[in-house]
Amino acid sequence: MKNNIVKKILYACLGLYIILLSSCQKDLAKLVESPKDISGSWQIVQLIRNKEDITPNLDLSKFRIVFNADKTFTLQDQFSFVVSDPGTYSLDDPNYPSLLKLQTPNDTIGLNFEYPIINGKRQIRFSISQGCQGNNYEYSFLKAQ
Amino acid sequence: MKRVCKLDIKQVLLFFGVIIILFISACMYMTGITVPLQGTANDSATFTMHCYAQPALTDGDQQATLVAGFLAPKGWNAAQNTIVTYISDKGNGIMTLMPKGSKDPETKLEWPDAAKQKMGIGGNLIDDVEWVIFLGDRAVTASNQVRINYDVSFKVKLGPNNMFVKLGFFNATLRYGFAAPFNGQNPYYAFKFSDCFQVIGGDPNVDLEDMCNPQMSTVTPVKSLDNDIITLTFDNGLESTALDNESDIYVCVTGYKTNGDTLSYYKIGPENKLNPLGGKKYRIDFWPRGLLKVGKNETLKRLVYKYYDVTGTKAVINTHTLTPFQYTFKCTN
Repeated sequence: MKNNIVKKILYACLGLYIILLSSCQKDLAKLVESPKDISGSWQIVQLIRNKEDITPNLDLSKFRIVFNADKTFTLQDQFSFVVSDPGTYSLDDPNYPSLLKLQTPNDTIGLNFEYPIINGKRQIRFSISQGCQGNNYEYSFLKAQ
Repeated sequence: MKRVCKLDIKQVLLFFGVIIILFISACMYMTGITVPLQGTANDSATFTMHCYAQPALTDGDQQATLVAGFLAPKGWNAAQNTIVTYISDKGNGIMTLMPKGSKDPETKLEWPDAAKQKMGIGGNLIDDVEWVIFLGDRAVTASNQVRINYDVSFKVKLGPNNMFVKLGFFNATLRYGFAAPFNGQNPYYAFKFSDCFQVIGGDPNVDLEDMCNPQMSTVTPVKSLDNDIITLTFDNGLESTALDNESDIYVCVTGYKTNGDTLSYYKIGPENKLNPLGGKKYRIDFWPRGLLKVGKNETLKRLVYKYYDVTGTKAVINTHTLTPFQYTFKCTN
């Protein structure tokens, strides 16, 4: 009698486990990142040079990079960056982008691209060397209000 | 069951006992370094470290391969421009550049990174030096308490620029690397830094790089182009100047373009005001192309600059050269 009860409990657990597992698989199948839309005006919120945060030492309030919905981009004001002219942009993968390509009349630049959510807001991050290759800059952009 | 457990513990203790007995103490020492006071730009100079090893082996002879390191200015490109040889009680030979990707067994870092982590950059005030690591051409047999004397010489072609720098040297073994001293006193590696070594006869148009002495004004990054963001620091307490009693400091800059034309920023305002860091030190960060409004197809070759008070009447220049401070844009040398 006692063994029967134990068996029933075991079968119930096994059944529940199978149901949970199958429901998880369905959820996993649904988990596809939505396409990333980076259109908007972005301003620098952090700039790190060779691992030193130089944000407080610079006036970063004026420079903007504006990604338009038609896949063109423009720059507002001038600042140390990898391009200085407007052009077009594209992401290597709309759902899981890791590379942002900026194309201007004179240059085609591929930037390692990150799109994290920081404090509930999307940021765009690039790691670039716009001067000497030995100098590394990590730019973090936030959508301008 | 209890008996099995007891037996296991004994076996474990026995195992570790054997490991401890088999342990080797390499004991690497450096008795001195021979570094001339100065050398001539683009000529060769030879630096030698005098070393010995005193192995403490309790389980017979062991094979050991020498690792030697040299801290040199990045501009010398010492990895390509250095010939390393050794003479020893066990024979003479050459050392070759440590293969890229090879790691120190202690820190698990690549050898140059491990060397920097363990020994730093000596007394150099500017981080424009690099550890270059070399590996012996063969293993030698080390016997218990048999001292091995060896000298390692680094013959390097000096870079093209005048400078002051402190050089560094270390020796270790490939097997133990930067392991902590055995028993707290028997070192697995040894290192020394030189006094200030001077390079003379270099290009007079290129700034002297002085890594030995505190500078009134420095530029960071040491190597940059006009599209980098640079930091000027000004130490107003290093020596007495016209700005001794000033707390509002400004920098006025002239940029020389590659075609020889100049662009200047000589206004006194928030854009060129230095931020105080405390202790009479100041800094300003700026984008040279932006400050000097350099045209799209133009390039700056160098900057000359002075520090001013708010009235623009009192200025500080380089008190050693009695000329404005200068900085040349470059990525190498």
